[in-house]
Amino acid sequence: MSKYILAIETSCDETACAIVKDNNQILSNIVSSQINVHELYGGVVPEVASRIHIENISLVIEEALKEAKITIDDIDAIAVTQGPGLIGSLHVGIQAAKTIAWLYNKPIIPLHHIVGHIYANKFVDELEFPLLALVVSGGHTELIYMEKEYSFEVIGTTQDDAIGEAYDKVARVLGLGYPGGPKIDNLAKTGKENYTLPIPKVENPYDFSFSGLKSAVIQLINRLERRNEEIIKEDVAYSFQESALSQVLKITDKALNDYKPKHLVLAGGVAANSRLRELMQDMILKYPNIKLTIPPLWCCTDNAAMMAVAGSVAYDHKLFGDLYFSAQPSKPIS
Amino acid sequence: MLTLCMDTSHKYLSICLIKNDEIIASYSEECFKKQSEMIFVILDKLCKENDTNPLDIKRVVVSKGPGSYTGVRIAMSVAKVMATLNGVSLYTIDTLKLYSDNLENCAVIMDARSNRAYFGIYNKGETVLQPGVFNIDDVKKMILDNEIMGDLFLLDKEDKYPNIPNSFLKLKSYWEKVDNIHLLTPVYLKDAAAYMVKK
Ligand SMILES: [Zn+2]
Repeated sequence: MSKYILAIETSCDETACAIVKDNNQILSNIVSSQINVHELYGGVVPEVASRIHIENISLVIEEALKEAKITIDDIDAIAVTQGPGLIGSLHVGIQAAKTIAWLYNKPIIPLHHIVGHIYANKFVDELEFPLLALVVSGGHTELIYMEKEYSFEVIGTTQDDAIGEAYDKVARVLGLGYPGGPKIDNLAKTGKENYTLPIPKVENPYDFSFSGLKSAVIQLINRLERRNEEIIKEDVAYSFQESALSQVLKITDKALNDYKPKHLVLAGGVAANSRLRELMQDMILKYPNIKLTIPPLWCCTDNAAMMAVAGSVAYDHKLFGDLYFSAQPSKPIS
Repeated sequence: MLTLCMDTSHKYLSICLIKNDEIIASYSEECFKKQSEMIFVILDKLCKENDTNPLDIKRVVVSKGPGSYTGVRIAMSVAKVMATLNGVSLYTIDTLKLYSDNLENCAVIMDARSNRAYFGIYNKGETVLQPGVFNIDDVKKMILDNEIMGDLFLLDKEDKYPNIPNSFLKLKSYWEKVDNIHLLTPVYLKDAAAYMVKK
């Protein structure tokens, strides 16, 4: 018998609902993006995000059901992002999910947002374990080791800023606007090695750090301004990106060596970065026994289809929530 | 017709089921910042105790604010999704009006932080002064000889709240039907756009 999961995701700035059949067939995937609004503010303003979620939540659910051409009765369980994320935003999605679950007496599955990003890779490939996931986004920079299905061990994390945060801040000082990632990625394509920036060092061999690099960029720009020298934005973007990504690459390389997984997957918003994709594809050539999966671009941004896939696996493990569970803005993955 | 009323816009979690103009089940407790954890526990309890299938609820009434931004969104999220999926009819009531308890000449004051308050005046449910955000000093001048409900601590008096389930029922003629469910959003009153209703 087929299994249908309806998932809701509202952890940050996308109001999303999706229905997925049998682990990876997307019947509908509705995302109402707030990006235009947050561009005006130069970043996500939590209260503004929550307000837009309550405006859109009922509509995205209705659309998801309509597009999937099924009724609530066909749904086996409701999955929802419990955290991490913005508390006010998470609340809206959780109440909506609980409403459906309570009204129609369906099981509810509270999920970790990053688990969704990792399982998004199931849309393109079968996951093989042990698996190493490199999670890179505006809120996360983590290496997660999965010995088997639905088991998560964080082996490395950032000691300060998330990589996406560093991209946003550097984009801001360069006057590129929000979100910074794609803008720096594009600009760096025409840049060259003209400025020297440090490659940060961290004690734990699998941990990351980006705040020193971010400060170095700010200092560089201040210095150039003081000397009335031209700031070649594409060269700054190039140097920043190379420095940030060579750190990511080096640490991932070490983890592959030490943990010897069968599968390496990328996850999160920065997995859309064209240079990171290129560098990873080059690096994996050294490891003929490790499969690399890069998620499709649409899965690098937040959506509910990826939460539905994660929910589908959690459903098989019967990881259901009760009526009490609430938003967990800093929910741990394990 | 079975009606569900919910208010999470202030520090209370208030829920009641109304049938034939009679409250058949109700709950109202101070539940500040715990409303999101408790709302379904209570909904489930009230329905089970009264042998009610949630799908039998045909009308939902929800307070729309002003009040706690996060709080008001909790019950409204539930209401909007119920109405969308189940064809339930959806109604709202202004939070300050709900707290006026259908009293004659009643001023309602609610903390809006930073020495400001949401404030409105009602006469048996009729709006005399549209709710707005005011400085506490201005509120003091506007109270006149009205009775006062709400966060009276702002005026160095003891807080006074109605029995919210009863108040929902008493103010039934002021429930406002929502025609387009998706367009319903809370009343935040972030900008102090208050004005007197001329009588
Ligand atoms: Zn995300």
